[in-house]
Amino acid sequence: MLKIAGSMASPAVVQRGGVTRDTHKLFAETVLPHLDDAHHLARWLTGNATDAEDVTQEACMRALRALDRAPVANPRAWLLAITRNTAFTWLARNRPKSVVLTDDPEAAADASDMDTAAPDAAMIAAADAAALEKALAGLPLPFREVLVMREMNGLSYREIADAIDVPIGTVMSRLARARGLMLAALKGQI
Amino acid sequence: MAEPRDKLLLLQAALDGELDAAGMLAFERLLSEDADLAADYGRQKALRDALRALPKAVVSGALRGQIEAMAPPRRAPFRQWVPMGLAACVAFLIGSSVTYLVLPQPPSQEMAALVGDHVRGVISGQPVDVVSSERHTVKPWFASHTALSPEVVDLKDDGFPLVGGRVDVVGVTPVPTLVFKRRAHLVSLAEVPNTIAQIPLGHGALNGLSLLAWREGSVTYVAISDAMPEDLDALKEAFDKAIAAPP
Repeated sequence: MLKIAGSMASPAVVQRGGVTRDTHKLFAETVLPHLDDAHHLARWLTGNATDAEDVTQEACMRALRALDRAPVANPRAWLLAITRNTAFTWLARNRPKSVVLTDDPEAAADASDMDTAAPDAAMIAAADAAALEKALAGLPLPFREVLVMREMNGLSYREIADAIDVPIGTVMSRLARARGLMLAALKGQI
Repeated sequence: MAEPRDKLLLLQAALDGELDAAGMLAFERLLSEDADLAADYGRQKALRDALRALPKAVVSGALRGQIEAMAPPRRAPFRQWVPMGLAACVAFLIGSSVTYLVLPQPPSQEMAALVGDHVRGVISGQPVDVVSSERHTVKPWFASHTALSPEVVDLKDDGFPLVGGRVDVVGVTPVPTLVFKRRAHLVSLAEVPNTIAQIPLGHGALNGLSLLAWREGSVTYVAISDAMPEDLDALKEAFDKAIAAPP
Protein backbone atom coordinates (compact mmCIF):
# COMPACT_ATOMS: atom_id res chain seq x y z
CA MET A 1 0.00 0.00 0.00
CA LEU A 2 2.62 2.51 1.05
CA LYS A 3 5.59 2.62 -1.21
CA ILE A 4 9.06 3.83 -0.38
CA ALA A 5 9.97 6.41 -2.93
CA GLY A 6 13.58 5.34 -3.01
CA SER A 7 12.57 2.18 -4.77
CA MET A 8 10.11 3.97 -6.99
CA ALA A 9 10.58 2.93 -10.59
CA SER A 10 9.23 6.16 -12.01
CA PRO A 11 9.85 7.63 -15.42
CA ALA A 12 11.83 10.29 -13.54
CA VAL A 13 14.89 8.07 -13.66
CA VAL A 14 17.51 8.39 -16.39
CA GLN A 15 20.88 6.78 -16.84
CA ARG A 16 23.80 8.23 -14.94
CA GLY A 17 26.48 9.57 -17.25
CA GLY A 18 29.81 9.76 -15.49
CA VAL A 19 31.52 7.33 -13.20
CA THR A 20 32.64 9.75 -10.53
CA ARG A 21 30.02 10.77 -8.05
CA ASP A 22 30.36 13.42 -5.51
CA THR A 23 27.63 12.83 -2.99
CA HIS A 24 28.01 16.28 -1.52
CA LYS A 25 27.52 17.97 -4.87
CA LEU A 26 24.65 15.69 -5.82
CA PHE A 27 22.90 16.24 -2.50
CA ALA A 28 23.44 19.99 -2.72
CA GLU A 29 21.99 20.14 -6.23
CA THR A 30 19.20 17.61 -5.88
CA VAL A 31 17.89 17.85 -2.34
CA LEU A 32 18.87 21.14 -0.71
CA PRO A 33 17.09 23.48 -3.20
CA HIS A 34 13.77 21.83 -2.36
CA LEU A 35 14.01 21.67 1.42
CA ASP A 36 11.38 24.35 2.02
CA ASP A 37 9.00 22.63 -0.35
CA ALA A 38 9.49 19.29 1.38
CA HIS A 39 9.11 20.88 4.78
CA HIS A 40 5.93 22.63 3.74
CA LEU A 41 4.39 19.38 2.55
CA ALA A 42 5.51 17.64 5.75
CA ARG A 43 3.98 20.43 7.80
CA TRP A 44 0.58 19.91 6.23
CA LEU A 45 0.76 16.14 6.34
CA THR A 46 1.80 15.94 9.99
CA GLY A 47 -0.23 18.94 11.12
CA ASN A 48 2.53 20.91 12.84
CA ALA A 49 5.98 22.33 12.31
CA THR A 50 7.73 20.29 15.01
CA ASP A 51 6.68 16.91 13.65
CA ALA A 52 7.40 18.24 10.17
CA GLU A 53 11.04 18.84 11.14
CA ASP A 54 11.38 15.16 12.06
CA VAL A 55 9.82 14.08 8.81
CA THR A 56 11.85 16.50 6.69
CA GLN A 57 15.06 15.32 8.27
CA GLU A 58 14.22 11.68 7.87
CA ALA A 59 13.11 12.23 4.29
CA CYS A 60 16.44 13.88 3.51
CA MET A 61 18.30 10.92 5.01
CA ARG A 62 16.29 8.59 2.81
CA ALA A 63 16.91 10.82 -0.17
CA LEU A 64 20.64 10.79 0.51
CA ARG A 65 20.68 7.00 0.58
CA ALA A 66 18.56 6.79 -2.56
CA LEU A 67 20.86 9.21 -4.42
CA ASP A 68 23.49 6.51 -4.67
CA ARG A 69 21.09 4.09 -6.27
CA ALA A 70 19.72 6.00 -9.23
CA PRO A 71 20.01 9.46 -10.74
CA VAL A 72 17.05 11.78 -10.50
CA ALA A 73 15.49 13.68 -13.39
CA ASN A 74 12.84 15.63 -11.50
CA PRO A 75 14.39 16.32 -8.10
CA ARG A 76 11.52 18.33 -6.64
CA ALA A 77 8.80 15.80 -7.39
CA TRP A 78 11.18 13.04 -6.31
CA LEU A 79 11.97 14.64 -2.95
CA LEU A 80 8.30 15.42 -2.35
CA ALA A 81 7.37 11.80 -3.07
CA ILE A 82 9.96 10.65 -0.56
CA THR A 83 8.73 13.22 1.94
CA ARG A 84 5.15 12.09 1.50
CA ASN A 85 6.04 8.44 2.01
CA THR A 86 8.24 9.28 4.97
CA ALA A 87 5.41 11.29 6.50
CA PHE A 88 3.04 8.35 6.17
CA THR A 89 5.39 5.88 7.80
CA TRP A 90 6.21 8.47 10.44
CA LEU A 91 2.54 9.10 11.16
CA ALA A 92 1.70 5.41 11.25
CA ARG A 93 4.49 4.96 13.78
CA ASN A 94 4.07 8.03 15.93
CA ARG A 95 0.49 9.22 15.44
CA PRO A 96 -1.37 6.05 14.49
CA LYS A 97 -4.74 7.62 15.18
CA SER A 98 -4.25 10.32 12.56
CA VAL A 99 -3.82 7.88 9.70
CA VAL A 100 -7.12 6.42 8.68
CA LEU A 101 -6.63 4.93 5.27
CA THR A 102 -9.72 3.46 3.78
CA ASP A 103 -9.34 1.44 0.63
CA ASP A 104 -11.45 3.86 -1.28
CA PRO A 105 -11.56 7.35 0.22
CA GLU A 106 -13.87 8.51 -2.55
CA ALA A 107 -16.49 5.98 -1.52
CA ALA A 108 -16.00 6.83 2.14
CA ALA A 109 -16.85 10.43 1.42
CA ASP A 110 -19.26 10.21 -1.46
CA ALA A 111 -19.32 13.10 -3.85
CA SER A 112 -22.79 14.40 -3.33
CA ASP A 113 -21.56 17.97 -3.38
CA MET A 114 -22.11 20.93 -5.65
CA ASP A 115 -23.62 22.64 -2.66
CA THR A 116 -25.67 25.46 -4.08
CA ALA A 117 -25.43 27.41 -0.84
CA ALA A 118 -21.61 27.39 -0.92
CA PRO A 119 -19.90 30.70 -0.16
CA ASP A 120 -19.39 32.90 -3.20
CA ALA A 121 -16.05 33.78 -4.73
CA ALA A 122 -15.79 37.18 -3.06
CA MET A 123 -16.33 35.72 0.42
CA ILE A 124 -13.68 33.09 -0.18
CA ALA A 125 -11.21 35.66 -1.42
CA ALA A 126 -11.83 37.63 1.77
CA ALA A 127 -11.44 34.63 4.08
CA ASP A 128 -8.51 35.01 6.43
CA ALA A 129 -5.54 32.67 6.49
CA ALA A 130 -6.54 31.16 9.83
CA ALA A 131 -9.93 30.04 8.52
CA LEU A 132 -8.33 28.52 5.43
CA GLU A 133 -5.66 26.75 7.42
CA LYS A 134 -8.24 25.36 9.81
CA ALA A 135 -10.34 24.04 6.95
CA LEU A 136 -7.29 22.52 5.27
CA ALA A 137 -6.09 20.89 8.49
CA GLY A 138 -9.54 19.33 8.89
CA LEU A 139 -9.44 17.52 5.55
CA PRO A 140 -8.95 13.75 5.68
CA LEU A 141 -5.36 12.89 4.77
CA PRO A 142 -5.97 11.44 1.26
CA PHE A 143 -7.66 14.69 0.22
CA ARG A 144 -5.32 16.99 2.10
CA GLU A 145 -2.20 15.54 0.52
CA VAL A 146 -3.37 15.97 -3.07
CA LEU A 147 -4.56 19.51 -2.40
CA VAL A 148 -1.30 20.52 -0.70
CA MET A 149 0.82 18.90 -3.42
CA ARG A 150 -1.22 20.71 -6.05
CA GLU A 151 -1.68 24.18 -4.51
CA MET A 152 1.31 24.59 -2.21
CA ASN A 153 3.92 22.52 -4.05
CA GLY A 154 2.55 23.14 -7.53
CA LEU A 155 2.94 19.53 -8.70
CA SER A 156 1.22 18.42 -11.90
CA TYR A 157 -1.41 15.69 -11.92
CA ARG A 158 1.17 13.30 -13.37
CA GLU A 159 3.66 14.10 -10.62
CA ILE A 160 1.06 13.70 -7.89
CA ALA A 161 -0.14 10.42 -9.39
CA ASP A 162 3.45 9.13 -9.38
CA ALA A 163 4.10 10.32 -5.85
CA ILE A 164 1.07 8.73 -4.27
CA ASP A 165 0.88 5.82 -6.68
CA VAL A 166 -2.69 6.17 -7.92
CA PRO A 167 -4.12 6.79 -11.41
CA ILE A 168 -4.49 10.37 -12.63
CA GLY A 169 -8.27 9.98 -12.56
CA THR A 170 -8.08 9.33 -8.84
CA VAL A 171 -5.92 12.41 -8.34
CA MET A 172 -8.56 14.47 -10.13
CA SER A 173 -11.50 13.10 -8.22
CA ARG A 174 -9.67 13.52 -4.89
CA LEU A 175 -8.82 17.10 -5.79
CA ALA A 176 -12.43 17.78 -6.66
CA ARG A 177 -13.55 16.23 -3.42
CA ALA A 178 -10.90 18.09 -1.42
CA ARG A 179 -12.03 21.41 -2.83
CA GLY A 180 -15.66 20.54 -2.21
CA LEU A 181 -14.87 19.73 1.41
CA MET A 182 -12.86 22.94 1.78
CA LEU A 183 -15.76 25.03 0.51
CA ALA A 184 -18.17 23.24 2.82
CA ALA A 185 -15.87 23.81 5.80
CA LEU A 186 -15.36 27.46 4.92
CA LYS A 187 -19.08 27.94 4.63
CA GLY A 188 -19.31 27.21 8.33
CA GLN A 189 -16.61 29.71 9.17
CA ILE A 190 -16.93 32.74 6.94
CA MET B 1 -19.94 16.09 -20.92
CA ALA B 2 -23.44 16.09 -19.57
CA GLU B 3 -22.66 14.22 -16.36
CA PRO B 4 -22.23 16.54 -13.40
CA ARG B 5 -19.28 14.47 -12.24
CA ASP B 6 -17.51 14.85 -15.58
CA LYS B 7 -18.12 18.57 -15.43
CA LEU B 8 -16.63 18.70 -11.97
CA LEU B 9 -13.48 16.88 -13.11
CA LEU B 10 -13.21 19.05 -16.20
CA LEU B 11 -13.47 22.06 -13.94
CA GLN B 12 -10.54 20.75 -11.87
CA ALA B 13 -8.41 20.21 -14.94
CA ALA B 14 -9.19 23.72 -16.21
CA LEU B 15 -8.43 25.20 -12.81
CA ASP B 16 -5.10 23.39 -12.59
CA GLY B 17 -3.94 24.27 -16.08
CA GLU B 18 -4.03 20.66 -17.18
CA LEU B 19 -6.21 21.25 -20.26
CA ASP B 20 -4.72 21.88 -23.65
CA ALA B 21 -5.88 24.83 -25.76
CA ALA B 22 -8.66 22.90 -27.46
CA GLY B 23 -9.89 21.50 -24.16
CA MET B 24 -9.81 24.94 -22.58
CA LEU B 25 -11.80 26.35 -25.48
CA ALA B 26 -14.46 23.67 -25.07
CA PHE B 27 -14.57 24.31 -21.36
CA GLU B 28 -15.03 28.05 -21.83
CA ARG B 29 -17.91 27.37 -24.15
CA LEU B 30 -19.44 25.16 -21.48
CA LEU B 31 -18.94 27.89 -18.88
CA SER B 32 -20.81 30.43 -20.98
CA GLU B 33 -23.80 28.08 -21.21
CA ASP B 34 -23.92 26.88 -17.64
CA ALA B 35 -24.36 29.50 -14.95
CA ASP B 36 -24.04 27.02 -12.08
CA LEU B 37 -20.78 25.72 -13.44
CA ALA B 38 -19.50 29.26 -13.91
CA ALA B 39 -20.36 30.14 -10.32
CA ASP B 40 -18.63 27.01 -9.10
CA TYR B 41 -15.60 27.81 -11.23
CA GLY B 42 -15.41 31.27 -9.66
CA ARG B 43 -15.58 29.81 -6.16
CA GLN B 44 -12.96 27.18 -6.81
CA LYS B 45 -10.68 29.70 -8.45
CA ALA B 46 -10.98 31.97 -5.42
CA LEU B 47 -10.20 29.02 -3.18
CA ARG B 48 -7.20 28.09 -5.32
CA ASP B 49 -5.79 31.60 -5.20
CA ALA B 50 -6.41 31.88 -1.46
CA LEU B 51 -4.62 28.59 -0.79
CA ARG B 52 -1.66 29.60 -2.94
CA ALA B 53 -1.37 32.83 -1.02
CA LEU B 54 -1.05 31.07 2.35
CA PRO B 55 2.31 31.61 4.04
CA LYS B 56 4.79 28.82 3.40
CA ALA B 57 6.51 26.86 6.14
CA VAL B 58 10.25 27.41 6.01
CA VAL B 59 12.99 25.10 7.23
CA SER B 60 14.73 26.53 10.28
CA GLY B 61 18.40 27.43 10.06
CA ALA B 62 19.31 24.75 12.61
CA LEU B 63 17.55 21.99 10.70
CA ARG B 64 18.99 23.17 7.40
CA GLY B 65 22.43 23.00 8.96
CA GLN B 66 21.86 19.45 10.16
CA ILE B 67 20.60 18.38 6.76
CA GLU B 68 23.49 20.04 4.94
CA ALA B 69 25.87 18.20 7.26
CA MET B 70 24.47 14.85 6.08
CA ALA B 71 26.57 15.05 2.93
CA PRO B 72 29.66 17.06 3.85
CA PRO B 73 32.03 18.24 1.11
CA ARG B 74 35.16 16.34 0.34
CA ARG B 75 38.35 18.28 0.87
CA ALA B 76 38.59 19.31 -2.73
CA PRO B 77 41.32 21.89 -3.41
CA PHE B 78 44.37 19.66 -3.33
CA ARG B 79 42.67 16.51 -4.47
CA GLN B 80 45.14 15.84 -7.25
CA TRP B 81 48.05 16.18 -4.88
CA VAL B 82 46.79 13.58 -2.46
CA PRO B 83 47.60 10.46 -4.54
CA MET B 84 51.03 11.85 -5.36
CA GLY B 85 51.70 12.64 -1.74
CA LEU B 86 50.53 9.22 -0.67
CA ALA B 87 52.75 7.56 -3.24
CA ALA B 88 55.72 9.56 -2.01
CA CYS B 89 54.98 8.62 1.59
CA VAL B 90 54.65 4.93 0.76
CA ALA B 91 57.90 4.98 -1.19
CA PHE B 92 59.60 6.71 1.70
CA LEU B 93 58.27 4.24 4.23
CA ILE B 94 59.27 1.21 2.21
CA GLY B 95 62.63 2.68 1.44
CA SER B 96 63.47 3.74 4.94
CA SER B 97 62.10 0.97 7.06
CA VAL B 98 60.55 -2.23 5.82
CA THR B 99 60.38 -3.50 9.36
CA TYR B 100 57.89 -0.78 10.20
CA LEU B 101 55.36 -2.33 7.84
CA VAL B 102 55.44 -5.73 9.47
CA LEU B 103 54.94 -4.35 12.96
CA PRO B 104 51.29 -4.23 14.09
CA GLN B 105 49.67 -0.90 13.29
CA PRO B 106 49.04 1.21 16.36
CA PRO B 107 45.32 1.90 16.77
CA SER B 108 44.13 5.19 15.38
CA GLN B 109 43.41 7.87 17.94
CA GLU B 110 39.75 7.83 16.98
CA MET B 111 39.48 4.09 17.44
CA ALA B 112 41.25 4.35 20.79
CA ALA B 113 38.79 7.04 21.88
CA LEU B 114 35.79 4.90 20.94
CA VAL B 115 37.23 1.84 22.66
CA GLY B 116 37.95 3.97 25.71
CA ASP B 117 34.34 5.12 25.86
CA HIS B 118 33.11 1.54 25.50
CA VAL B 119 35.40 0.34 28.30
CA ARG B 120 34.38 3.19 30.59
CA GLY B 121 30.72 2.36 29.95
CA VAL B 122 31.18 -1.30 30.76
CA ILE B 123 33.28 -0.69 33.91
CA SER B 124 31.02 2.02 35.30
CA GLY B 125 27.93 -0.15 34.77
CA GLN B 126 26.40 2.77 32.84
CA PRO B 127 26.99 1.93 29.21
CA VAL B 128 24.19 4.22 28.00
CA ASP B 129 23.17 7.84 28.48
CA VAL B 130 19.60 7.12 27.46
CA VAL B 131 18.16 3.79 28.47
CA SER B 132 15.52 2.54 26.15
CA SER B 133 14.75 -0.37 23.94
CA GLU B 134 12.30 1.93 22.21
CA ARG B 135 13.99 3.32 19.11
CA HIS B 136 11.64 6.30 18.99
CA THR B 137 12.93 7.43 22.33
CA VAL B 138 16.55 7.04 21.37
CA LYS B 139 16.46 8.74 17.99
CA PRO B 140 15.06 12.12 19.11
CA TRP B 141 17.41 12.07 22.06
CA PHE B 142 20.34 11.82 19.66
CA ALA B 143 18.87 14.45 17.43
CA SER B 144 19.01 16.88 20.33
CA HIS B 145 22.51 15.91 21.51
CA THR B 146 24.56 15.34 18.36
CA ALA B 147 24.81 17.05 15.01
CA LEU B 148 23.78 13.89 13.28
CA SER B 149 20.65 11.93 13.90
CA PRO B 150 21.70 8.33 13.43
CA GLU B 151 19.89 5.29 12.20
CA VAL B 152 18.28 3.78 15.27
CA VAL B 153 17.12 0.22 14.91
CA ASP B 154 16.25 -2.53 17.33
CA LEU B 155 17.83 -5.81 16.25
CA LYS B 156 16.09 -7.90 18.87
CA ASP B 157 14.89 -10.41 16.29
CA ASP B 158 18.47 -10.98 15.21
CA GLY B 159 19.69 -11.51 18.76
CA PHE B 160 20.83 -7.94 19.44
CA PRO B 161 18.23 -6.22 21.65
CA LEU B 162 18.71 -2.45 21.83
CA VAL B 163 19.82 -1.26 25.28
CA GLY B 164 19.98 2.44 24.58
CA GLY B 165 22.21 5.18 23.27
CA ARG B 166 25.23 7.14 24.37
CA VAL B 167 27.32 10.00 23.11
CA ASP B 168 30.98 9.16 22.52
CA VAL B 169 33.56 11.81 21.81
CA VAL B 170 35.99 11.50 18.91
CA GLY B 171 38.56 14.25 19.09
CA VAL B 172 36.26 17.05 20.17
CA THR B 173 33.18 15.90 18.28
CA PRO B 174 30.28 14.10 19.94
CA VAL B 175 29.12 11.11 17.92
CA PRO B 176 26.04 8.92 18.45
CA THR B 177 26.61 5.39 19.69
CA LEU B 178 23.97 2.69 19.97
CA VAL B 179 24.39 -0.01 22.57
CA PHE B 180 23.09 -3.51 21.94
CA LYS B 181 23.21 -6.64 24.01
CA ARG B 182 24.58 -9.92 22.65
CA ARG B 183 23.85 -12.61 25.22
CA ALA B 184 25.95 -11.48 28.23
CA HIS B 185 28.03 -9.04 26.18
CA LEU B 186 27.52 -5.42 25.31
CA VAL B 187 28.14 -4.17 21.80
CA SER B 188 28.74 -0.47 21.12
CA LEU B 189 27.99 0.74 17.62
CA ALA B 190 29.30 4.25 16.94
CA GLU B 191 28.40 6.29 13.87
CA VAL B 192 31.35 8.51 12.93
CA PRO B 193 31.09 11.06 10.09
CA ASN B 194 33.90 10.48 7.59
CA THR B 195 34.71 14.16 7.76
CA ILE B 196 36.03 14.01 11.30
CA ALA B 197 38.00 10.78 11.09
CA GLN B 198 39.24 8.29 8.54
CA ILE B 199 38.92 5.07 10.46
CA PRO B 200 40.59 1.95 9.07
CA LEU B 201 37.89 -0.44 7.89
CA GLY B 202 37.54 -4.14 8.61
CA HIS B 203 38.17 -6.29 11.64
CA GLY B 204 40.59 -5.35 14.39
CA ALA B 205 41.35 -5.95 18.03
CA LEU B 206 42.37 -3.69 20.87
CA ASN B 207 42.79 -4.54 24.55
CA GLY B 208 41.11 -7.89 23.99
CA LEU B 209 38.05 -6.32 22.39
CA SER B 210 36.83 -7.19 18.91
CA LEU B 211 36.41 -4.29 16.50
CA LEU B 212 34.67 -4.04 13.17
CA ALA B 213 34.47 -0.88 11.09
CA TRP B 214 32.57 -0.40 7.85
CA ARG B 215 31.55 2.56 5.76
CA GLU B 216 28.07 3.49 4.63
CA GLY B 217 27.78 6.67 2.58
CA SER B 218 29.17 9.57 4.54
CA VAL B 219 29.63 7.76 7.86
CA THR B 220 31.75 4.96 9.25
CA TYR B 221 30.17 2.51 11.67
CA VAL B 222 32.42 1.11 14.38
CA ALA B 223 31.28 -1.91 16.39
CA ILE B 224 33.16 -2.71 19.61
CA SER B 225 32.54 -5.64 21.93
CA ASP B 226 34.12 -8.34 24.03
CA ALA B 227 31.98 -10.80 22.07
CA MET B 228 33.49 -12.87 19.25
CA PRO B 229 34.40 -11.21 15.93
CA GLU B 230 31.72 -13.37 14.25
CA ASP B 231 29.13 -11.71 16.49
CA LEU B 232 30.14 -8.35 15.05
CA ASP B 233 29.73 -9.71 11.54
CA ALA B 234 26.25 -10.86 12.54
CA LEU B 235 25.51 -7.41 13.94
CA LYS B 236 26.66 -5.71 10.74
CA GLU B 237 24.50 -8.02 8.69
CA ALA B 238 21.44 -7.45 10.87
CA PHE B 239 22.03 -3.70 10.94
CA ASP B 240 22.46 -3.43 7.17
CA LYS B 241 19.29 -5.41 6.71
CA ALA B 242 17.37 -3.25 9.16
CA ILE B 243 18.38 0.09 7.64
CA ALA B 244 17.75 -1.14 4.12
CA ALA B 245 14.22 -2.20 5.04
CA PRO B 246 11.50 0.44 5.26
CA PRO B 247 10.82 1.28 8.92
